[in-house]
Amino acid sequence: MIQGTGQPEMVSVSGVVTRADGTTEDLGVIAFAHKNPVKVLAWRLGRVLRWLRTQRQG
Amino acid sequence: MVMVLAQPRRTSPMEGLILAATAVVETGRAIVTGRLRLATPTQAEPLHIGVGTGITATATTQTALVTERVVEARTAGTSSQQTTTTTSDTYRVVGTFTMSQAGPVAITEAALFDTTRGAGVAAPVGTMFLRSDFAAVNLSLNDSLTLTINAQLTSSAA
Repeated sequence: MIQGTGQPEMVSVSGVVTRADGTTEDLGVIAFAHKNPVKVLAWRLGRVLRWLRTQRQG
Repeated sequence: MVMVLAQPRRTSPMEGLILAATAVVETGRAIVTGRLRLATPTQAEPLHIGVGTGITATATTQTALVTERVVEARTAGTSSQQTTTTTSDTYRVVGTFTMSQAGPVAITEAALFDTTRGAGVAAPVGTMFLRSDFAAVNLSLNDSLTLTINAQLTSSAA
């Protein structure tokens, strides 16, 4: 595990895909870092739940 | 402190989902100080978005995307100051990348740079401010990916 210091409080990257046919897919926050590791864990848990939900729907 | 999990190679979609990481890299710190210095800073703003297909975990020592896509040019994003906790504490860049090649291609990394790069020009070009790795986003011809990148700054008394 690498511990990066001198980092901002939070860095996040959100994504929205627009397909060639015009349909859009909101990916939500696709990468996240926070000084508070609990927030990072919460985000990761949310990603897993979101993934499970899409698998169930698919 | 931001903890970035070391992740040399991903083997499943689930790993990409939960291990996605992002960080302001060491060269990005130089960009910040360069932008602060002088009445008219010589350091360019890091608002050019590059994307790539590399799957190496984000590390602060990195200076470029692992495998930047060079078929398309970098996207000149639109920057703004946003309020997350205190007024204007967050730097935001929004930009849209559009695939110009038949796919699908799995986009797995993105970064902000202080320099543009034209289509077909070999990378690396310019100085990297921030890199992110994430679960694959599969794009085909004329699909586009709009990225919103936020970096929130805070100060703390030690």
